Amino acid sequence: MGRRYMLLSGSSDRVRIAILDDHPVITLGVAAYLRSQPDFDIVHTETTSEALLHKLASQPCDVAVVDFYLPRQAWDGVDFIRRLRRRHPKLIIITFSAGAPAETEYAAFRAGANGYLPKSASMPMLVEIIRAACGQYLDKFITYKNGALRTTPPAHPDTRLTAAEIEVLRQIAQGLSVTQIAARLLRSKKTISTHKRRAMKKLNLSDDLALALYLNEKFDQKTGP
Amino acid sequence: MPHLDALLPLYPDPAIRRALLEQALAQIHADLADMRQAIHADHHADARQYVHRAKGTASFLGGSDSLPAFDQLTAALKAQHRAHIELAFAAVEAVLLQLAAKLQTQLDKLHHTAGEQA
Repeated sequence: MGRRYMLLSGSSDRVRIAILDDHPVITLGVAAYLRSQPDFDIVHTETTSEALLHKLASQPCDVAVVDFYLPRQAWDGVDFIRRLRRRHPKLIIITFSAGAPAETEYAAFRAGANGYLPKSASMPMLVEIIRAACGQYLDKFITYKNGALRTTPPAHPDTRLTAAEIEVLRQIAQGLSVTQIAARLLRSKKTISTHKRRAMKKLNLSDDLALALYLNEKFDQKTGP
Repeated sequence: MPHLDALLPLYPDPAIRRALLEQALAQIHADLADMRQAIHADHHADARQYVHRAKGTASFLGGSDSLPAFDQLTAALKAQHRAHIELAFAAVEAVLLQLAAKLQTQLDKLHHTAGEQA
Protein backbone atom coordinates (compact mmCIF):
# COMPACT_ATOMS: atom_id res chain seq x y z
CA MET A 1 0.00 0.00 0.00
CA GLY A 2 1.21 3.49 -0.81
CA ARG A 3 2.62 5.57 2.01
CA ARG A 4 1.94 9.02 0.66
CA TYR A 5 0.69 10.04 4.07
CA MET A 6 4.30 10.00 5.18
CA LEU A 7 4.41 13.40 3.54
CA LEU A 8 1.61 14.62 5.75
CA SER A 9 3.32 13.77 8.98
CA GLY A 10 6.75 15.04 8.11
CA SER A 11 9.39 12.42 8.72
CA SER A 12 7.06 10.08 10.60
CA ASP A 13 5.14 7.28 8.97
CA ARG A 14 2.51 7.42 11.66
CA VAL A 15 -0.94 8.91 11.11
CA ARG A 16 -2.08 11.43 13.70
CA ILE A 17 -5.84 11.26 14.13
CA ALA A 18 -8.45 13.47 15.78
CA ILE A 19 -11.94 12.15 16.53
CA LEU A 20 -15.05 14.24 17.08
CA ASP A 21 -18.41 12.77 18.02
CA ASP A 22 -20.93 14.16 20.46
CA HIS A 23 -21.64 10.62 21.70
CA PRO A 24 -18.98 9.80 24.31
CA VAL A 25 -19.44 6.05 23.85
CA ILE A 26 -18.85 6.30 20.10
CA THR A 27 -15.82 8.53 20.63
CA LEU A 28 -14.37 6.01 23.06
CA GLY A 29 -15.23 3.02 20.88
CA VAL A 30 -13.82 4.53 17.69
CA ALA A 31 -10.68 5.75 19.44
CA ALA A 32 -10.04 2.40 21.10
CA TYR A 33 -10.42 0.56 17.82
CA LEU A 34 -8.26 2.95 15.78
CA ARG A 35 -5.63 2.92 18.51
CA SER A 36 -5.18 -0.80 17.89
CA GLN A 37 -3.79 0.00 14.44
CA PRO A 38 0.01 -0.10 14.71
CA ASP A 39 0.61 3.08 12.69
CA PHE A 40 -2.24 5.24 14.05
CA ASP A 41 -1.82 7.75 16.84
CA ILE A 42 -5.06 8.99 18.36
CA VAL A 43 -4.17 12.52 19.36
CA HIS A 44 -7.55 14.10 20.14
CA THR A 45 -10.89 12.59 21.15
CA GLU A 46 -13.45 15.35 21.57
CA THR A 47 -17.21 15.57 21.96
CA THR A 48 -17.59 19.23 20.86
CA SER A 49 -16.54 20.98 17.68
CA GLU A 50 -15.29 23.96 19.66
CA ALA A 51 -12.94 21.79 21.75
CA LEU A 52 -11.59 20.04 18.66
CA LEU A 53 -10.75 23.31 16.91
CA HIS A 54 -9.03 24.50 20.06
CA LYS A 55 -6.98 21.31 20.42
CA LEU A 56 -6.01 21.19 16.75
CA ALA A 57 -4.67 24.72 16.98
CA SER A 58 -2.05 23.61 19.48
CA GLN A 59 -1.52 20.06 18.23
CA PRO A 60 -2.30 19.50 14.54
CA CYS A 61 -3.26 16.13 13.07
CA ASP A 62 -3.16 14.44 9.68
CA VAL A 63 -6.74 13.15 9.79
CA ALA A 64 -9.94 14.26 11.51
CA VAL A 65 -12.86 11.84 11.77
CA VAL A 66 -15.82 14.10 12.43
CA ASP A 67 -19.49 13.55 13.12
CA PHE A 68 -21.74 15.73 10.94
CA TYR A 69 -24.77 16.38 13.14
CA LEU A 70 -23.81 18.03 16.41
CA PRO A 71 -27.04 19.57 17.64
CA ARG A 72 -26.84 22.53 19.98
CA GLN A 73 -23.14 23.00 19.46
CA ALA A 74 -21.39 26.15 18.28
CA TRP A 75 -20.70 24.64 14.87
CA ASP A 76 -21.62 21.49 13.01
CA GLY A 77 -22.20 20.16 9.51
CA VAL A 78 -21.05 22.18 6.55
CA ASP A 79 -20.16 25.15 8.70
CA PHE A 80 -17.78 23.14 10.87
CA ILE A 81 -16.11 21.33 7.95
CA ARG A 82 -15.50 24.68 6.24
CA ARG A 83 -13.94 26.08 9.39
CA LEU A 84 -11.72 23.04 9.73
CA ARG A 85 -10.70 23.28 6.09
CA ARG A 86 -9.89 27.00 6.37
CA ARG A 87 -7.77 26.58 9.48
CA HIS A 88 -6.12 23.30 8.44
CA PRO A 89 -5.90 23.21 4.63
CA LYS A 90 -3.94 19.94 4.54
CA LEU A 91 -6.04 18.10 7.11
CA ILE A 92 -7.81 15.00 5.77
CA ILE A 93 -11.41 15.27 6.91
CA ILE A 94 -13.53 12.13 7.03
CA THR A 95 -17.19 12.69 7.79
CA PHE A 96 -18.57 9.87 9.91
CA SER A 97 -22.31 10.27 10.10
CA ALA A 98 -25.60 8.54 10.64
CA GLY A 99 -27.39 11.17 8.59
CA ALA A 100 -29.06 10.33 5.29
CA PRO A 101 -26.15 9.82 2.86
CA ALA A 102 -27.97 11.63 0.04
CA GLU A 103 -27.88 14.94 1.91
CA THR A 104 -24.91 14.55 4.24
CA GLU A 105 -22.47 13.10 1.75
CA TYR A 106 -22.98 15.84 -0.81
CA ALA A 107 -22.92 18.57 1.82
CA ALA A 108 -19.66 17.20 3.25
CA PHE A 109 -18.17 16.97 -0.24
CA ARG A 110 -19.07 20.58 -1.04
CA ALA A 111 -17.77 21.80 2.29
CA GLY A 112 -14.33 20.35 1.61
CA ALA A 113 -14.28 16.97 3.32
CA ASN A 114 -12.13 14.20 1.83
CA GLY A 115 -14.51 11.36 2.49
CA TYR A 116 -17.80 10.22 3.89
CA LEU A 117 -18.49 7.03 5.80
CA PRO A 118 -21.91 6.15 7.18
CA LYS A 119 -21.97 4.95 10.76
CA SER A 120 -23.68 1.80 9.53
CA ALA A 121 -20.35 0.75 7.99
CA SER A 122 -18.03 -1.51 9.96
CA MET A 123 -15.13 -0.24 12.05
CA PRO A 124 -12.55 -1.94 9.81
CA MET A 125 -14.04 0.10 6.96
CA LEU A 126 -13.22 3.25 8.93
CA VAL A 127 -9.59 2.16 9.02
CA GLU A 128 -9.75 1.45 5.31
CA ILE A 129 -11.14 4.87 4.40
CA ILE A 130 -8.50 6.62 6.52
CA ARG A 131 -5.74 4.66 4.80
CA ALA A 132 -7.25 5.28 1.37
CA ALA A 133 -7.63 9.01 2.03
CA CYS A 134 -4.00 9.22 3.19
CA GLY A 135 -2.71 7.06 0.39
CA GLN A 136 -3.90 6.15 -3.04
CA TYR A 137 -6.94 8.45 -3.04
CA LEU A 138 -5.28 11.47 -1.45
CA ASP A 139 -6.78 13.90 -3.96
CA LYS A 140 -10.21 12.31 -4.34
CA PHE A 141 -13.44 12.35 -2.38
CA ILE A 142 -14.05 8.84 -1.04
CA THR A 143 -17.50 7.46 -0.44
CA TYR A 144 -18.89 4.14 0.67
CA LYS A 145 -21.42 2.23 -1.41
CA ASN A 146 -22.55 -1.38 -1.22
CA GLY A 147 -19.84 -2.42 1.18
CA ALA A 148 -16.90 -0.87 -0.70
CA LEU A 149 -15.07 2.42 -1.00
CA ARG A 150 -15.52 4.45 -4.18
CA THR A 151 -14.20 7.70 -5.55
CA THR A 152 -17.22 8.84 -7.56
CA PRO A 153 -18.15 12.38 -6.46
CA PRO A 154 -21.60 12.37 -4.83
CA ALA A 155 -24.52 13.65 -6.84
CA HIS A 156 -26.48 16.73 -5.80
CA PRO A 157 -29.42 15.43 -3.72
CA ASP A 158 -31.85 18.07 -4.94
CA THR A 159 -30.90 19.95 -8.06
CA ARG A 160 -33.42 22.65 -7.26
CA LEU A 161 -31.48 23.88 -4.22
CA THR A 162 -27.99 25.28 -3.80
CA ALA A 163 -25.69 23.88 -1.10
CA ALA A 164 -26.17 27.08 0.93
CA GLU A 165 -29.96 26.75 0.75
CA ILE A 166 -29.80 23.10 1.87
CA GLU A 167 -27.58 24.06 4.80
CA VAL A 168 -29.96 26.83 5.89
CA LEU A 169 -32.92 24.43 5.70
CA ARG A 170 -30.98 21.81 7.67
CA GLN A 171 -30.32 24.32 10.42
CA ILE A 172 -33.96 25.46 10.44
CA ALA A 173 -34.90 21.78 10.83
CA GLN A 174 -32.71 21.69 13.94
CA GLY A 175 -34.94 24.39 15.41
CA LEU A 176 -32.65 27.38 14.88
CA SER A 177 -34.03 30.82 14.06
CA VAL A 178 -32.80 32.98 11.16
CA THR A 179 -30.89 35.11 13.68
CA GLN A 180 -29.21 32.05 15.23
CA ILE A 181 -28.30 30.62 11.81
CA ALA A 182 -26.84 33.95 10.74
CA ALA A 183 -24.66 34.01 13.86
CA ARG A 184 -23.58 30.40 13.31
CA LEU A 185 -22.74 30.76 9.64
CA LEU A 186 -21.25 34.25 9.99
CA ARG A 187 -23.72 35.64 7.48
CA SER A 188 -26.19 38.51 7.75
CA LYS A 189 -29.78 37.82 8.70
CA LYS A 190 -30.74 39.19 5.30
CA THR A 191 -28.59 36.60 3.51
CA ILE A 192 -30.06 33.75 5.55
CA SER A 193 -33.59 35.04 4.96
CA THR A 194 -32.86 35.24 1.24
CA HIS A 195 -31.62 31.62 1.16
CA LYS A 196 -34.73 30.54 3.06
CA ARG A 197 -37.09 32.51 0.82
CA ARG A 198 -35.46 31.26 -2.40
CA ALA A 199 -35.50 27.66 -1.17
CA MET A 200 -39.19 27.95 -0.30
CA LYS A 201 -39.94 29.42 -3.72
CA LYS A 202 -38.05 26.63 -5.52
CA LEU A 203 -39.85 24.01 -3.44
CA ASN A 204 -43.23 25.66 -3.94
CA LEU A 205 -43.71 26.12 -0.20
CA SER A 206 -46.08 28.98 0.41
CA ASP A 207 -45.67 29.55 4.14
CA ASP A 208 -43.81 28.49 7.30
CA LEU A 209 -46.28 25.66 7.97
CA ALA A 210 -45.57 24.14 4.54
CA LEU A 211 -41.86 24.60 5.22
CA ALA A 212 -42.18 22.86 8.58
CA LEU A 213 -43.93 19.89 6.95
CA TYR A 214 -41.24 19.71 4.26
CA LEU A 215 -38.44 19.84 6.82
CA ASN A 216 -40.12 17.20 8.91
CA GLU A 217 -40.30 14.91 5.90
CA LYS A 218 -36.82 15.70 4.64
CA PHE A 219 -34.72 15.92 7.79
CA ASP A 220 -36.68 14.65 10.78
CA GLN A 221 -35.79 10.96 10.69
CA LYS A 222 -32.37 11.51 9.26
CA THR A 223 -30.49 13.66 11.69
CA GLY A 224 -29.75 11.01 14.20
CA PRO A 225 -26.72 10.08 15.93
CA MET B 1 -22.66 -0.30 13.43
CA PRO B 2 -22.71 -4.01 14.17
CA HIS B 3 -24.53 -5.55 17.10
CA LEU B 4 -22.79 -6.06 20.42
CA ASP B 5 -21.74 -9.63 19.66
CA ALA B 6 -20.00 -8.52 16.49
CA LEU B 7 -18.61 -5.33 17.99
CA LEU B 8 -16.96 -6.63 21.14
CA PRO B 9 -14.47 -8.95 19.39
CA LEU B 10 -12.99 -5.77 17.90
CA TYR B 11 -11.77 -5.00 21.43
CA PRO B 12 -9.76 -8.04 22.46
CA ASP B 13 -7.99 -6.22 25.31
CA PRO B 14 -10.13 -6.91 28.42
CA ALA B 15 -9.27 -3.54 29.99
CA ILE B 16 -10.41 -1.61 26.92
CA ARG B 17 -13.50 -3.77 26.55
CA ARG B 18 -14.36 -3.24 30.20
CA ALA B 19 -13.88 0.55 29.88
CA LEU B 20 -16.17 0.64 26.86
CA LEU B 21 -18.86 -1.46 28.56
CA GLU B 22 -18.69 0.53 31.79
CA GLN B 23 -18.87 3.89 30.04
CA ALA B 24 -21.76 2.71 27.88
CA LEU B 25 -23.66 1.45 30.92
CA ALA B 26 -23.09 4.69 32.81
CA GLN B 27 -24.11 6.73 29.76
CA ILE B 28 -27.31 4.77 29.24
CA HIS B 29 -28.40 5.25 32.85
CA ALA B 30 -27.43 8.94 32.79
CA ASP B 31 -29.28 9.56 29.51
CA LEU B 32 -32.36 7.74 30.78
CA ALA B 33 -32.40 9.79 33.97
CA ASP B 34 -31.86 13.07 32.08
CA MET B 35 -34.53 12.16 29.54
CA ARG B 36 -37.04 11.26 32.21
CA GLN B 37 -36.40 14.48 34.10
CA ALA B 38 -36.59 16.68 31.00
CA ILE B 39 -39.84 15.06 29.86
CA HIS B 40 -41.46 15.44 33.26
CA ALA B 41 -40.43 19.10 33.32
CA ASP B 42 -41.74 19.61 29.75
CA HIS B 43 -38.26 20.65 28.61
CA HIS B 44 -38.73 19.10 25.21
CA ALA B 45 -35.68 20.62 23.50
CA ASP B 46 -33.42 19.26 26.25
CA ALA B 47 -35.17 15.91 26.07
CA ARG B 48 -34.50 15.71 22.32
CA GLN B 49 -30.82 16.28 22.97
CA TYR B 50 -30.76 13.37 25.44
CA VAL B 51 -32.67 11.18 22.98
CA HIS B 52 -30.09 12.01 20.31
CA ARG B 53 -27.29 11.01 22.67
CA ALA B 54 -28.97 7.78 23.74
CA LYS B 55 -29.69 6.92 20.12
CA GLY B 56 -25.98 7.21 19.37
CA THR B 57 -25.11 4.76 22.12
CA ALA B 58 -27.84 2.37 21.03
CA SER B 59 -26.83 2.50 17.36
CA PHE B 60 -23.17 1.90 18.18
CA LEU B 61 -23.74 -1.04 20.51
CA GLY B 62 -27.13 -2.40 19.62
CA GLY B 63 -27.37 -2.06 15.87
CA SER B 64 -30.09 -0.31 13.90
CA ASP B 65 -33.14 -2.42 14.76
CA SER B 66 -34.10 -0.36 17.78
CA LEU B 67 -33.55 3.06 16.27
CA PRO B 68 -37.14 3.74 15.09
CA ALA B 69 -38.16 3.94 18.77
CA PHE B 70 -35.82 6.91 19.21
CA ASP B 71 -37.11 8.59 16.05
CA GLN B 72 -40.69 8.20 17.28
CA LEU B 73 -39.82 9.80 20.60
CA THR B 74 -38.05 12.66 18.82
CA ALA B 75 -41.11 13.20 16.62
CA ALA B 76 -43.43 13.14 19.65
CA LEU B 77 -41.22 15.66 21.47
CA LYS B 78 -41.22 17.91 18.42
CA ALA B 79 -44.99 17.73 18.23
CA GLN B 80 -45.19 18.24 22.02
CA HIS B 81 -47.89 15.60 22.25
CA ARG B 82 -47.88 14.44 25.85
CA ALA B 83 -49.60 11.06 25.36
CA HIS B 84 -47.37 10.17 22.42
CA ILE B 85 -44.30 11.28 24.35
CA GLU B 86 -45.13 8.98 27.25
CA LEU B 87 -45.74 6.01 24.97
CA ALA B 88 -42.62 6.64 22.92
CA PHE B 89 -40.50 7.17 26.03
CA ALA B 90 -41.67 3.83 27.43
CA ALA B 91 -40.50 2.14 24.21
CA VAL B 92 -37.11 3.88 24.32
CA GLU B 93 -36.74 3.06 28.00
CA ALA B 94 -37.39 -0.63 27.25
CA VAL B 95 -34.80 -0.61 24.46
CA LEU B 96 -32.16 1.02 26.64
CA LEU B 97 -32.80 -1.20 29.65
CA GLN B 98 -32.56 -4.26 27.43
CA LEU B 99 -29.26 -2.99 26.03
CA ALA B 100 -28.03 -2.21 29.55
CA ALA B 101 -28.83 -5.78 30.61
CA LYS B 102 -26.79 -7.13 27.67
CA LEU B 103 -23.87 -4.88 28.59
CA GLN B 104 -24.06 -5.99 32.20
CA THR B 105 -23.99 -9.64 31.11
CA GLN B 106 -20.84 -8.98 29.09
CA LEU B 107 -19.27 -7.15 32.02
CA ASP B 108 -20.09 -10.04 34.35
CA LYS B 109 -18.45 -12.43 31.88
CA LEU B 110 -15.32 -10.28 31.89
CA HIS B 111 -15.22 -10.21 35.69
CA HIS B 112 -15.79 -13.96 35.79
CA THR B 113 -12.95 -14.61 33.35
CA ALA B 114 -10.65 -12.26 35.26
CA GLY B 115 -11.55 -14.06 38.52
CA GLU B 116 -10.74 -17.46 37.02
CA GLN B 117 -7.38 -16.24 35.78
CA ALA B 118 -6.42 -14.67 39.13
